[in-house]
Amino acid sequence: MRSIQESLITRLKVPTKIGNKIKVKKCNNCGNIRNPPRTYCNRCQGTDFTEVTFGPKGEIITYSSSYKRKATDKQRFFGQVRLFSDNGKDSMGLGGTFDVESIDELDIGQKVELVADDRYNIFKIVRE
Amino acid sequence: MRNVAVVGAGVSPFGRLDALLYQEIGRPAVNDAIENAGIDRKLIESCYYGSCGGVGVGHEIMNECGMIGIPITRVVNACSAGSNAFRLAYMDIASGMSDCVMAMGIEKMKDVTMAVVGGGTRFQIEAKAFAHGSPMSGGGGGGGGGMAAGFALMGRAHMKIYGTKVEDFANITVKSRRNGSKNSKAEFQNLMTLDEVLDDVMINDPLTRSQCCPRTDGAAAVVLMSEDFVKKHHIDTPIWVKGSAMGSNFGGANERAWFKETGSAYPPGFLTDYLVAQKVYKMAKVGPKDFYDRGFVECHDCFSVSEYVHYEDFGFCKKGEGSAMINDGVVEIDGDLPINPSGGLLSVGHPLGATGTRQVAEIFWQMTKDKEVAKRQVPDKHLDLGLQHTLGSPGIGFTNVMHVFSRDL
Repeated sequence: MRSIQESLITRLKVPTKIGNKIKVKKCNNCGNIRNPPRTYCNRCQGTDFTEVTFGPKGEIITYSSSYKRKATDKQRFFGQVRLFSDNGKDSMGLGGTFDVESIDELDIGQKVELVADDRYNIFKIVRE
Repeated sequence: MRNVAVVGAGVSPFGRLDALLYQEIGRPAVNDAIENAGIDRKLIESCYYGSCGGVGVGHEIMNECGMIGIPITRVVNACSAGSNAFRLAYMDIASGMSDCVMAMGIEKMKDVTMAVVGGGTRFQIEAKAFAHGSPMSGGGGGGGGGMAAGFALMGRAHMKIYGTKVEDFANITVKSRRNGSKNSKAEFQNLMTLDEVLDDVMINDPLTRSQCCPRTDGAAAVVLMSEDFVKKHHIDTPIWVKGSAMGSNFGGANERAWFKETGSAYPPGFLTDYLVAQKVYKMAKVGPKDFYDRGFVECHDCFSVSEYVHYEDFGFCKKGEGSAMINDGVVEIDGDLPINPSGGLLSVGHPLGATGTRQVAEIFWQMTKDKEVAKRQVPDKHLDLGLQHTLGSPGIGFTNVMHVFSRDL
């Protein structure tokens, strides 16, 4: 018999990141993208979902550089990326770091790809 | 609803006050507000105070000031805590529950932790930077993050979409320091040139250190009264609250709302600010154009980028036209629309719980031509209307509070 606490849990115990792709839920009632996935939609409270896979392709929405407290700190570059779904119909925003050496390598609208990494969201630049 | 007026204000010096007790910071502000109002402290019927880190400190301060036994309520709502305390005091009187109420705010930033301000959320605050660092800086690990980081991302998007330059953002700090140099309560009272701002330590590109408000300790208090009490106690210079509005938004939803419109997940502005501004304008029966030539503004310039996008979100100019506001001197004390004559958060500092009441105190002093603001007095023609605004991020979304003040009932 489930405890009261267990009966209230709405988190889905499924991996959202698989390799260089993100699996999330899309509400069949209102189209809301739910990431991380839950058993209900936070917009319309619906419970009927379709699984949608995003990535690895995306484009930079905005970016910045990290604060170097010490001169020896590694300079990092981070921002927001719009990831596209497999079918190209949907997109979602995802934050992460860029695998670059200089901020000059970044531009809004630039094509990037999500890298397979279990811990962090890392994006590499797609050179055309 | 009953009419409500601000009748007195007091502000402690702002700065690093680690060696002082909360009572030692707050008591002078409270006593100054009562003296400024020229009333007997026994008239104060209740108190609302904003403090994110100080548990029960308002009770201690009011006790130290001899106001024992009255209802005292602590408000914790991140950067908007002080404004929320003021709004609750306003509602207390407007509803008819009380006739004379104190709104107070106090903070010692060493006691403000991730747990009470946006811990582990989209606008993550890196605990070490927030508690010990110089500005409210973002960390660099993982996916980035921090308050400065969020505004830096917004600034970058603004630059791309509207062609805004880093100099446009930096000029806001230059203006802020010019005003702050005339404010004896401000943490930073030194002037800075554009080159000095641009060459300062880079926090999160394009924001340099001096474009980020400092973590500051301080307190501010204001006394509010009903119209009946203003008449009964012969208050000469009441400043009337003409509008009070508040809104909130979940960060993700906010982003999505702007996602389709601008193609940007980090919108170069705040949708909630726009919506709350519309609400407060409607209640006060004014529009953004009324503030030109007739009014002035104290807004939440936690970063240079934030003040910039407020120009646009409040409707003072169209999206993408904020640069002319700062570069052409429109927002200077002697400009068409003075903004942050106190020096704002960038110069005065930002004790989270105290900022909102400190802004109201500035508006009250400006409108009553108090000697406190003599060196930075806004010209007479601008004293018809005052607009106060804070933007808080108490977790995953935003809390926005705005008030409109007028000398006329």
